[in-house]
Amino acid sequence: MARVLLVDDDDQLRSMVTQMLEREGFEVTEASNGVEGLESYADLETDIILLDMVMPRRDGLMTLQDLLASYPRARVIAMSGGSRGRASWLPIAKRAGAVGVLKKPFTKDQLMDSLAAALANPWK
Amino acid sequence: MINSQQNRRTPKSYDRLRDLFFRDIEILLIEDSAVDQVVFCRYVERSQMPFVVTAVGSLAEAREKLANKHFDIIVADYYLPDGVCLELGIIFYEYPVVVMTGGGDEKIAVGVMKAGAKDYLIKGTGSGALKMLPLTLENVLIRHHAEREREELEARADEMQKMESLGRLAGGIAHDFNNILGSIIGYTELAVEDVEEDSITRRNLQEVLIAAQRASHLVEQILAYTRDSAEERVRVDLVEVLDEVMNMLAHSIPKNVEIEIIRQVDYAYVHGNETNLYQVVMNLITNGIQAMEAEGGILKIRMMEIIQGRKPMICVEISDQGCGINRDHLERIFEPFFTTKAPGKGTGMGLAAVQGIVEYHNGRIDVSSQVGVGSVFTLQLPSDLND
Ligand SMILES: Nc1ncnc2c1ncn2[C@@H]1O[C@H](COP(=O)(O)OP(=O)(O)OP(=O)(O)O)[C@@H](O)[C@H]1O
Ligand SMILES: [Mg+2]
Repeated sequence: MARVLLVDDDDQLRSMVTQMLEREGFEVTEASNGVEGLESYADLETDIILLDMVMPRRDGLMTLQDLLASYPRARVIAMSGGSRGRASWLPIAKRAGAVGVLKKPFTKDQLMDSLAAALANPWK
Repeated sequence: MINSQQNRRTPKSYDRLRDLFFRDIEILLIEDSAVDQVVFCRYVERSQMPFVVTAVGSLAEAREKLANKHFDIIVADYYLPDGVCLELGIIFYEYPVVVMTGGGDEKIAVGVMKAGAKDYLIKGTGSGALKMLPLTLENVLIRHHAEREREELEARADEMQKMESLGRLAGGIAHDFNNILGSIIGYTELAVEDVEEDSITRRNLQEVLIAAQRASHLVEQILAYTRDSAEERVRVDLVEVLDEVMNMLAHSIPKNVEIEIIRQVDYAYVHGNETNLYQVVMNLITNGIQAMEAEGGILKIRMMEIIQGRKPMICVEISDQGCGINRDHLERIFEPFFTTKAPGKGTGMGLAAVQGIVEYHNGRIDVSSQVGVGSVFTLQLPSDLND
């Protein structure tokens, strides 16, 4: 089954997504910020990265850019629930090379759909 | 000499008032002396200004008239059979009021001015004040009009400021709020999976989900209303947007509502934010359907291109055969949080969001409605001319 790296600074949301994914048979590794996320990916090279765009320290966009610079074939799904005072992140993440976007709050169906689409993406 | 001067002034005054009112000006005269009523009317007539006088003899009659008819200005004798004119209470402050007093009553005149009258006239022979009547009325009307306009401007500026801070607040908390909602929705879905198919617990958890979706919808509408101008804009085909909305609604359209789509264009390209334009179309169609929930009917959606002042515009007309909107409500439907729907049914942010988005896209939204017949919402957005 596919392996997912889940990078989100919201602990509650993160363990909820992990539960959802594990129930569907995914193997999940968690990271709570961009730096940790990059380190984990270097170790594991998971099939998918679910990446929150708004995080303290290394934010989502910087993490995304670093990831794709080192691993151009990484499949990143960007997640965001809105700005925190800036323009919406999701279109920007797409331009920066994310294979998919997920608007928070999302349902389990939406999560599964976007994972399926990202895994099926032939361009990576 | 005096006459000719007056004649020269008259057309000009007439113009100034006509510019403001476009119609006859309704004066309510409250005067218990029949003689004074006649004198008053004579002066008004002579002025050749577009005044129409309704005369009553007491405060009670005045109140009754005011309850049934709109007046532009009130001219009231100070002493009336059933009290002094100040006893009109709130009316005294809602209308421009000119008070008439007898000669030698200057103290009273000062008093009524302090109480909010717009001007006063001394009647009685020899005072000559009634000669000034038309001019006084004209000045009061113009001044009152200017004051109202200023009040309205201030109120609008206030409103905009409020919405701006609401927008900033919403933008600031949207991320955290949506994370929180994400947890609520996610954990509830997990719980739903674990409880028995048709248990009460499952149904109750489903209600939690619906509530969370409502909260999420509300945040979205507020964000849309208080547009973040950095939002991404691209070429969007409204034909596709409409298709998407109809797909989304397909299962929730009540049986008694029929949808008729008339597309007079193959493509309808505009430049804008796709998510927001989807919201506009969705909100207008949802409102139309909801308006017909009780009686049913046809929702007509017409999409066409029109030329507006040399500029091609995409026009989407959404007409329903629903309950219609009465005059008082019609003025308020675009206000944030204005709703006639039951709590939990409507946020009142739908049309506010529509207006915010449409303005941001340099378009316009118009509405006409008749109670019991239906409503037509007309959306116009500049065509995207780039190929
Ligand atoms: N097509 C329509 N026919 C009749 N009344 C309408 C129509 N569209 C809007 N209204 C009136 O305008 C009000 C405001 O509409 P708006 O879309 O802003 O909020 P809402 O529909 O009440 O709530 P929400 O959009 O959040 O569900 C409605 O409550 C209703 O009274
Ligand atoms: Mg609505």
